[in-house]
Amino acid sequence: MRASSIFSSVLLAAALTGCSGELPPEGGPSPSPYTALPPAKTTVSGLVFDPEAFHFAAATFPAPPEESPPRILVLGIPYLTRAVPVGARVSVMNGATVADASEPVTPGATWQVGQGVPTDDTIAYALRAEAASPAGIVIGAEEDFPAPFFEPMPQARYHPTTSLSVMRTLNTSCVSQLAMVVGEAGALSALSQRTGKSIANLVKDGVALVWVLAPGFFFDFENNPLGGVAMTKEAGPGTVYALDWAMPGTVARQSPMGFYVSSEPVSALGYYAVVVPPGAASEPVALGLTDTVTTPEGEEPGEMGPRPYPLAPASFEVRPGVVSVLRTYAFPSLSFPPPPEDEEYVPSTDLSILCRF
Amino acid sequence: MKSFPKILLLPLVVLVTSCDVFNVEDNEGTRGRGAAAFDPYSSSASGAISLSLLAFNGCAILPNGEPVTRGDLELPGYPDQCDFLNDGFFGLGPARPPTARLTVVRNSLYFLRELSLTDALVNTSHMNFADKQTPATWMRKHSRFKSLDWSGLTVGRENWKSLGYGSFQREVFYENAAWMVSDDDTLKVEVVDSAGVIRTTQTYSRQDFLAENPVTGRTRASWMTTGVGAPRFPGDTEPQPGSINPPLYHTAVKVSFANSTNPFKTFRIPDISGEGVIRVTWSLMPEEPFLFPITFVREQERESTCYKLGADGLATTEQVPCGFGLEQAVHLNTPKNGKYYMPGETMDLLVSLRDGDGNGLHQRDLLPSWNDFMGGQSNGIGYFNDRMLLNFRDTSSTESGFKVVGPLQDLKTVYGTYALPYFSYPVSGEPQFYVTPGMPDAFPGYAAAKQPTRYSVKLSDNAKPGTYLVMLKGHRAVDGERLNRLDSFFFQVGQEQKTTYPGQIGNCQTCHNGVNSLDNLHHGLSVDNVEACKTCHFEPQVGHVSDFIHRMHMSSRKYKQNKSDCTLCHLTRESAVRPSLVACNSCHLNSHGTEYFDVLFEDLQNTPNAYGNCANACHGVTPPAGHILPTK
Repeated sequence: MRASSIFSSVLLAAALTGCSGELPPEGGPSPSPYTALPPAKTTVSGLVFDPEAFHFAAATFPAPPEESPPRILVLGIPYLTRAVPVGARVSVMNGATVADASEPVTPGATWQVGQGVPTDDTIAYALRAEAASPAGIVIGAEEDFPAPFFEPMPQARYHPTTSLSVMRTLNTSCVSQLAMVVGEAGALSALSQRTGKSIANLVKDGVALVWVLAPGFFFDFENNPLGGVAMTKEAGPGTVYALDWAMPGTVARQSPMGFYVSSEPVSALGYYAVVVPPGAASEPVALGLTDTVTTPEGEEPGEMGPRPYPLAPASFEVRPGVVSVLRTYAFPSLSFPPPPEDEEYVPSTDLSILCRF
Repeated sequence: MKSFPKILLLPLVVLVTSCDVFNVEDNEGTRGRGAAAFDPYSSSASGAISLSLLAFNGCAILPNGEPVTRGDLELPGYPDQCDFLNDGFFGLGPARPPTARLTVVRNSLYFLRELSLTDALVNTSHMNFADKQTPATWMRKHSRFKSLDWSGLTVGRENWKSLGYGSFQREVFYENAAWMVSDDDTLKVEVVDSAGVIRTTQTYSRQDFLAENPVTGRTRASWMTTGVGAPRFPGDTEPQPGSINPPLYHTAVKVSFANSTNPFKTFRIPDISGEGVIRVTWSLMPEEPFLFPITFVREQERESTCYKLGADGLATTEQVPCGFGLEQAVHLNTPKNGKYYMPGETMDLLVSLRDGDGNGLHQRDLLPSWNDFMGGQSNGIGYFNDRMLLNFRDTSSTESGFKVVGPLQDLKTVYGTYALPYFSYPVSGEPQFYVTPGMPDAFPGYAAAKQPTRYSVKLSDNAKPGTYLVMLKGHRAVDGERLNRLDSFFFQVGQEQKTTYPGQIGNCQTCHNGVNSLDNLHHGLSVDNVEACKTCHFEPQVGHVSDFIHRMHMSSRKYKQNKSDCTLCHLTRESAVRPSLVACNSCHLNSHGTEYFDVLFEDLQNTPNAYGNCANACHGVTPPAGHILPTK
């Protein structure tokens, strides 16, 4: 080897050794990639609507049923647009505590809480909606759905309303949550007329409204009431009232929206109320639901199979001071074959962001 | 006197350069492996901004698909009304006046990085499944590209992509037209002010762009049928029932050149206000320039919609103007033992997206909503827009999200199964998107919801020890710049000792260096992490690595290597000897002719299928003599 090569190698090594202070030390600790993050929070967002206004808008839509839009909770469906409670605020409740709340709702119907709620899937959160200010809530989207072509939506005072469907933070984002708010133009007025109790006392003592809905394909966004389902109280306080609807001004003791307490025990609409006496709201109410309708033999059943549909019982506390609302679905009566034994694994779709399935 | 041996100068050189020989950052502090200003491209730090120009059915569009208005400009040749590709892929609504604006920054240097022009018919025509002639006639005689030289056009590859559960997308490619194979054509870019004065000009050649290959989704002329079932036999002319009945039809010519090989070829936007137009004249269509109305904006007058970062690297509430660029960071929650996660433990990660100047692009805890993105209110953050994919046939892909995989040593290519030999979240090919495609339309209120920056990933109970990877996939478009980034972050599970990739494939930087660095291409994944590509690309819906990587290079006229020489990219023999219909057909179009035809259409998870190692006895034990393979 040439002397110059040796010499240059030595010099080069020396020069590079002088650089080694800039290299990360071998085997030494690397900067930690970890941070002490604060406790996780879950963002919560969704829609808010008045289910009675939704029904009113659908029932009075000026087109034959076969030409009318479907009853589905999707932006753009006119029934939903007319049922948006402009000026409502949605809160995510952990018991009696507000975990977080939204800004007042605009005609866009959507809401999102400001900071998020603690992520803990053991907590049964509930959604509560109410007027954000003394100015109250405006309903009906009158500018886009003017009279006389569209039946004017009665305006009313709205009461704090809690959904009885539990929300669990199965993800750091809970989307498409359905909050509801109910006013005095619907069942509350009809119940007041029937029971003789003022609406204020009905709410103060505790009242629950239960919608029985037909099974659908699209999670709980389809909103078709299912008449002919009997709802009976199995245990707990309160009286069950079957509710029905007709065009306002056609039946005695109707509410401004057209709801009334039915004289029949089984609601032809699929809508019930549980009115609780004073001081009894802390006890749970257990309800049984039975489909009393049978698809006649020979008649082609619907996509969800023939009736009677199976239904799950319901059990909940009717909270005093708020209107409690439950949407409960019948199940399809279809029977599906079990998956083949040797079916290969395919990852399932993650629906945890819906926080309820 | 003997001359001074020059070799003795070498250590002097080292000392003079201040010992930078092992520093992989250049003196501008840009990240990456190289020392050149564009390796990788780093927005303002690179000295010139990459410009992407897109057009759909004659109207300029933004990367979110919204058509661009000409404003108050008199612009003959630019439509008053535009098709809105975001109307849907079942059909476009009526044309109507556009409102979006393409802004460019005054007095800034730009270089053309992408020109993508699509002319498409969306589910309105060419609905005869058996007729491959009529779509081609439309392209040649009626499309916006009818004046091109279409001589030599032939029906090329017919690609069937599985959509899952027995449903497919059939795409017939028309290839070999003279304009497609041209190599000496040019694109003259002129910036014109509102008075019609040309303020600056730059001319690019076709060769100034790396990507033009239909395999990568660039220039393509294709006729697509979506939602059909598998054909009963080769050449079946009747569409079989699939997931969409009747199926959707889409005919398009897309002229697309992307990824600049010469970003030093720049032009300066004039320092003027108001409106103007970027006019691109293609030498193959000299009488029909493409017009992109622009609005000149001043960088200093950008609204303060970004967020100053705090000492913790997360957004504060102080708002500042945004700059160009996209940098991604992730914060991982400290594991319970302080050093590494254990199997079964939940890992929390917090995503932080910044511009190239270090400003936060979003609030600390929330990302913009889908509506923010579509309305141009997301500080440029992009989400997966399936209409851009299906109507525009986009490839640069606006999607963003994350994926967690590991340990690195177990990241092996999978063939025909979802039972992965490594931990993956999600398990499916695609990442966990911040905004899931399809959901803004389907789920009430989702489009308006701001998504979280915080995510929890539970490691499997049998997660193996080693180094794991979080990949952040990001997209940002602002003031003409359009960027993709796929950044990698590492953490430990089960042990402190680091592990690394299997070392099966590599050497991409042999060609993909400098301005052509992988950081600058497509997703923007660094060459250090190419062995992570397979963790998404094992499903037909997003393409299997053994398919499109081969096809991309084999059909590229820029890939000059011996196509039989597998050793350039395959570092081990094992990685190069795994025959399957998918792998073999990637180079040898129809490797088995009509044999095993039905296997080609079997779902990924069912064996036998096109991914199976069915040819091991034939082509594995005794590999084809024409393949030059690694010896071990």
